[in-house]
Amino acid sequence: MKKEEFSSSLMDKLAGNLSENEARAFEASIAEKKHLQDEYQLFSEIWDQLENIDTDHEVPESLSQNFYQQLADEQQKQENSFTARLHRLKEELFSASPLARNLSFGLFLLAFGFILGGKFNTNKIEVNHTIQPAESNSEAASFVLSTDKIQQIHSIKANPSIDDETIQRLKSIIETEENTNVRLAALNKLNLNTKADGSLKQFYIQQLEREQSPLIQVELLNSIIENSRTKESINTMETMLSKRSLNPIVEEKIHKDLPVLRASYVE
Amino acid sequence: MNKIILLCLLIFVLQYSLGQVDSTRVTKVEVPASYQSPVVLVYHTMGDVSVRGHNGNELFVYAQEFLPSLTDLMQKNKQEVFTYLDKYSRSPVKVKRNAHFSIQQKDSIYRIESNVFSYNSNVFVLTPGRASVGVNVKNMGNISIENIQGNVEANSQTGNVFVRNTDGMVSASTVHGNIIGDFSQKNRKQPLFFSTLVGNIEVIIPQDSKSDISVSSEMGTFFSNFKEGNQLAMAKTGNHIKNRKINLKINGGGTDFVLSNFKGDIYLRYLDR
Repeated sequence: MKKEEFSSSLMDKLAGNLSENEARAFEASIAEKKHLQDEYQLFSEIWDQLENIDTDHEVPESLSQNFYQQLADEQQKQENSFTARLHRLKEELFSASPLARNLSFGLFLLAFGFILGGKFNTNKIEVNHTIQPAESNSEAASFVLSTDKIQQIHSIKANPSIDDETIQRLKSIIETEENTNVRLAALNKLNLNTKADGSLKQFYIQQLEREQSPLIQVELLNSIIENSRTKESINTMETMLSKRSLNPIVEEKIHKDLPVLRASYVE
Repeated sequence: MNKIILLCLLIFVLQYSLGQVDSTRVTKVEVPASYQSPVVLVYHTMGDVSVRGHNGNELFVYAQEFLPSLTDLMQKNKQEVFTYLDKYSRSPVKVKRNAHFSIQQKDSIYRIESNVFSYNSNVFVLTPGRASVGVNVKNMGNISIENIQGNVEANSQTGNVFVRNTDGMVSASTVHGNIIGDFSQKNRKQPLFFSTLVGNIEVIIPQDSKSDISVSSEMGTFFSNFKEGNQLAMAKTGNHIKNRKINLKINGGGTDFVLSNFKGDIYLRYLDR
């Protein structure tokens, strides 16, 4: 009998898986070989000892309970740990949307880059080009700041009253000037005229509709209340109320002034 | 896919880091010393404008955007310099222009005009202190002007105006916003004209200032720590009050201060040292 055949038949013999004929044949085959007999003898003894081992031990109840309690405690401890919480938070936030994760990371990079760039950017400001100064200053600049215009208006003497030419100039300024403060100064100067004549009253009413600046509109409304309590003024105010672009503050003032005007207007 | 997104973000971050001070966006213009009173005008669509005077002869202009624009990212913010002939005066107008603003020089007038599409940019100007300055913000933005010896004009639609330490005449107007004038460092010789529809007006002057004050407020209150101001503000039926206007003289009268608003309080005060 070869060694391989002996090894496979040995385990079957020990386990009792061989038939009687096979068992007899096996014993006959090893009867003449001393070393196979010794080996068979050794394995038989080991097999008997294995069968005699007491395997009926039971785990005590207390040990079982302690083990599961410890296991549960350990699991609870791990779940409450900072890294586990962080992991859970990450899962909650990002599991649904990888885009959110990428965006968050991108924002972090952006903030990091912003801080880093501000700290370490030592580039000096260099200028590529410079304009050469104009060769001549022969043509005086025609531009006038609004401050100069206001100063000119303030220098107009209003005592005892303003002459017609100046009134026309002030009217023209109110109609054409872009700067609010210049128009306001002109209107205030015009209001200094002790008694507004018919044309001036008409001007206030017409200008109220044309005027874009709410502050001037308010001043014009005051001038109308002061000087021009007529039916036309009431109509103008009512027309203005229908404008969608009317400033809410001006609207509020018209709502306040209109009843006063209606109650006291002169036919 | 994720790697591509991350790579793009990284490139963006690097660009942003390096782009915080973009030298191509600072423009310098030499103002000849022979121009005794140059005029610097700023026209901006939306965003804050800050103008500050200095002792040198250079005009620096810088526009900063809250986020880098596509123009910056594409590195197409190159400067151009050219000259054209003004069709009315037949005098040359020198223009320096980049993607964010242009500076036009005609004689001693320097007109800085921001790009109409630069909605989110703030403009910073450093100008020779002897200049007169005019700032116009068309829509919304705060204006700050400091250390100017010439006249000052500031107009905004919605935004605060802050003027400090200027010598010349000042005209400031806004529709919705406060106006603050801090002239506490020295007595003013030139008048002030402040007006706002809705907003407070505050003027700070030295205690010994000699001024003629004209205050007009429809729905506001006048406050002052000058004793003349207190007396008149409390005199509801005084002769000076007409159409909610108050005229008063501080320390005997002098420089005109005209302060007008519709809704909002008006403060005239000196600093309590």
